[in-house]
Amino acid sequence: MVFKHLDISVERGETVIILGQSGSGKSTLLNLIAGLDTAEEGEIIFQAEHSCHINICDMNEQQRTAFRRRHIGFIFQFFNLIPTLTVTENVRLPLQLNKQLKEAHLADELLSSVGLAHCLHKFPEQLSGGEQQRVAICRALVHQPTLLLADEPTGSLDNKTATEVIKLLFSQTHEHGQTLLLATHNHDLIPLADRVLTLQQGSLVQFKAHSTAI
Amino acid sequence: MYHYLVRANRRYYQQHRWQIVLLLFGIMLGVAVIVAIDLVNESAQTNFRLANERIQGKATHRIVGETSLPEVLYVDLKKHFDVIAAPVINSYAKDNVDLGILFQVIGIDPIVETRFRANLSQFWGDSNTHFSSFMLSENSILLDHSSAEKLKLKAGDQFSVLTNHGAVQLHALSLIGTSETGSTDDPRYQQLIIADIGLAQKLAGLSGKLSYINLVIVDEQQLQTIRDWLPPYAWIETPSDQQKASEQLTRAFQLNLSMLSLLALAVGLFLIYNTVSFSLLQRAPMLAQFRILGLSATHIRNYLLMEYALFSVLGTLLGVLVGVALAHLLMSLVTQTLSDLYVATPIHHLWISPLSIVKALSVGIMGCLFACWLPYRRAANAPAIRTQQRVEQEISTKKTHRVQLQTSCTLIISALVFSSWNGGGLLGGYIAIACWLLATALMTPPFILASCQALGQRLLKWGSEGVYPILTMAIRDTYRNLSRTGMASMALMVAIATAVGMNVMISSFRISLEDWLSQRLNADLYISRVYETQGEARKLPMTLMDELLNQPEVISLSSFRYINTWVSKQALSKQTLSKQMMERKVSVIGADIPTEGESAYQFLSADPAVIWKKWRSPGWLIISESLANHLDIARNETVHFKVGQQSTSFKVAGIYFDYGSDSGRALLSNNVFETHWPTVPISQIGVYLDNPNNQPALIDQIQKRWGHALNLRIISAREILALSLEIFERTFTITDVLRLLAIIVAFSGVLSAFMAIQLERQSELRVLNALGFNRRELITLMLLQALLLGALTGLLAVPVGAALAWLLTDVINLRAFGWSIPLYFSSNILWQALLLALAASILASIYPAWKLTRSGSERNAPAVIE
Repeated sequence: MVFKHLDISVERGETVIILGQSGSGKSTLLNLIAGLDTAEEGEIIFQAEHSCHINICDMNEQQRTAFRRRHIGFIFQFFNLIPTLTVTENVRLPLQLNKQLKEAHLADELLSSVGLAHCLHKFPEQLSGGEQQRVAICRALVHQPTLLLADEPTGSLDNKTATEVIKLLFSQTHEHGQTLLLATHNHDLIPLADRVLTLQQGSLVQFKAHSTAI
Repeated sequence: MYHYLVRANRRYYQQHRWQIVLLLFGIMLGVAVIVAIDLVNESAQTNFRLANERIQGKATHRIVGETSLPEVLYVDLKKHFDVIAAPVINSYAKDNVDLGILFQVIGIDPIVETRFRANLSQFWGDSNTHFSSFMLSENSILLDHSSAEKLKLKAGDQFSVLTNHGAVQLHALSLIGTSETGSTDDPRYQQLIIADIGLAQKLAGLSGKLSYINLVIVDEQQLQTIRDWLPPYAWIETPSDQQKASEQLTRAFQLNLSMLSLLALAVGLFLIYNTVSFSLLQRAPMLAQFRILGLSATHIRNYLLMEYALFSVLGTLLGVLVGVALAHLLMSLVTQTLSDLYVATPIHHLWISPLSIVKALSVGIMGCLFACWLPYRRAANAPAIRTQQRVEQEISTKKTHRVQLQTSCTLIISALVFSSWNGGGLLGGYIAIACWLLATALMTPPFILASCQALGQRLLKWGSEGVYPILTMAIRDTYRNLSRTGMASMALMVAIATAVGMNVMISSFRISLEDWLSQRLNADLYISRVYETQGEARKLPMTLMDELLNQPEVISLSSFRYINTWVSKQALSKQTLSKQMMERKVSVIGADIPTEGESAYQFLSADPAVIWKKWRSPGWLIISESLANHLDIARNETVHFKVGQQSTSFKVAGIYFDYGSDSGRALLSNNVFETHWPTVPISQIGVYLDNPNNQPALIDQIQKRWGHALNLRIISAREILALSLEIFERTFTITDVLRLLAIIVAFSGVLSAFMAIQLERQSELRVLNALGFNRRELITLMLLQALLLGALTGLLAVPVGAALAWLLTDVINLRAFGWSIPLYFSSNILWQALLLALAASILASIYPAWKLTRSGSERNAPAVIE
């Protein structure tokens, strides 16, 4: 994927929706920001709290991993929960990776707050699609990352469940003051976002506040 | 950091227990066969050494001859030298109740023997009563505890043994072989009879003779003086000379076993690779998740390394345990084969050597980690986001095929170089085989891919795609799933090709042996004296030959006398001769061969009439093909034999085909033989009759006249042929066992591959169900896929196996045993190979097919991450 003249900046606490057809580069952009993929050229600057600017493209594999662990929460279309860990273990995993073991209770509290208190010790395959995605959101939020990346989070859910999940996602990010970048085909989500970014074959065609985008 | 990673993977294995089973099974079986063969080989050598040490005691040297030594030599030695010496008789006897006990009978002079065996005094007990009984009472012996237990005897009991001279009643004066811990099963005393020298001479039929004279000499000068003093028929050797001779005798056989065990390990490694590859492919999305959430590649690498180290250690330890058990089973087979082909040993103990165990542990752990290395590297270094995508794996598989084909070509060239370069010896031959098998194994997945694509296109061309949709799908699935089944098909191909190669080699050998025996045994009857056990050649009197020649139905006779001596291509100095530095010990035969018997010998080249004419002249001999190959000697060249303490040379008149001895044989005319070994008697006669129907009457007549006095064994050529083939079959039993093990490992590989596919296709199954496929059709699809994989693997295995058979016969057999075997391909063997491949694949797919349909209909499988 080649991005042409892509120059965007997102403020802390902002919610941005990335629109575009399949193959337009939405997922690639999220992967690049998360450090899962590397760009051959260009810069991706991240400003962490109390720290100077970090260029993700200059980081090596190990640094990108550490960056992702601390600052990023990722939500996928197919939930991508670890099938052999229970719900609570899945959510506690980022805390453990960040050595925040004392805050393990946060996982259960978060799960309870999204109505999954009864599922703590179940395995992902025992849950419905909507429940699995709620667990995935909790896992992405639990270690309070600065940036939340969501790649088609409702792509495999029915309308009702999708609406519930989106509501949850936006309310949680607002509550914790986190930045959200959400890639989707769904134009109905535009009103929920602060800004909308539209991609077409790797080029930015629009980057406006939602009212303008509509 | 690793807490949840370990937990997630532990639960993965709990859900896929069969993967652990297959992984451990692969390591275990490979290591078990290595351990078993190594222990058996080591034990056979140790048992040879112990049996030799029982005769040797504390002797530093011993005087030996080509046959037995005259008793007077010992008397003269003691008269001339102040030397510590003891006479020894070494012979064998069998139990008379058919328990299969072969006793080593050692005859000693108890008075002088205490200098050689300090522990002897413990056998006489507190009083000297046993000592006097041993010396004075007739037939009193010392018997080992374990044999006494088998024969239900206690000290003081009488029992009977069979010798070459009939049954003899013995009196077990005392039981020996109790170890310091009180155990009565000390292997050093296994199947041992110690008798007074007079009694032992009677049992061995060696009146007035000795087997050896043991010596304790530390003074080199005295040793040289005795050497110079000894008559030409006797010389001095050291214990290491004896050990070297036994090692040389069995080296090729043991090396062949070791190589077969390595084959089992190699197939086991295929299985490990296959299982590890699959488990990593299956866990790739999960591992990718850990990477996305912030676990570094190093963490994943470290974890995987720990996981496989744990499996390696566990599997190897299991392999060692199973290997020791397997060694117990194989020990009797190997001992029997060594006894059939080379020399019998009364000790059958399995020695658990710590060195063998350490060797196996290292080979198992290193081998397993080696097999895991490639999939591990792939999994640990893959970028997190791409490990989720199956298509990436298939693309990488296709790239791998190109590399595999290039590597194959290099390996085939190496195989050709090593097989044609004679200087590489036996090891070079095995390297050629390894290169060939590896090259063709690497070619298997690209071959399957190309064949499936060709088959698919053919179906398309015939317009049959729509007619046979399941077949079309099966063809596509077969090559689409090569990333999963590739390794298994390689393992299966190697196992089947090995089975084909070995089968063709063994059946060719059998046919050659039968042809050779039918030609060689061209006399109607063969007469010798009965040999219950190994022993010195027993004389057939000239009067017997004269009487036979006077019978009207007898046309002519052939006669044979045998001796084992050292041979070399180079002329040897006296010093070299005394140190036994000649190349090999071979059987030298002195024969009278009538014109009727000449056709028994087929020569490699040259006119037989010219060869036979030369052979009857002094200074000429004919040698077997194996001896010619071992010494690298051609016609008209010279060979040197050790005759007493001298070296005598002969020119080679001809080289004849012979499968009777892998160390080689030389045939001299009786007149020539007699001038060098005058004391060796004629021990076998071949009788040529005018009419084969006269056989029974003549046998009856000879037995009536000579049978009782001489204890004769008269046997027809047909009976010898049957007996020889029976021994031949027995010899290859161990090979069959090892081949079977290799096939079991390969079968497990295919099973694991199909299980892998079955697990992966849960979601695809739902789609097929939705499209209207019923359970029967789904099973048909899976079975067709197995059939295709098996058929293509089998098709490739047949030519690969045929080439392997050529390598085994024309390279390995020629270099190890020195004999060439014409190859005979039987269509049966080739069909069997194909059927074996098909059966293995179908059987391996039945369970996964059944599971596939069950899980599809009963369980709502989770969505696939892809």
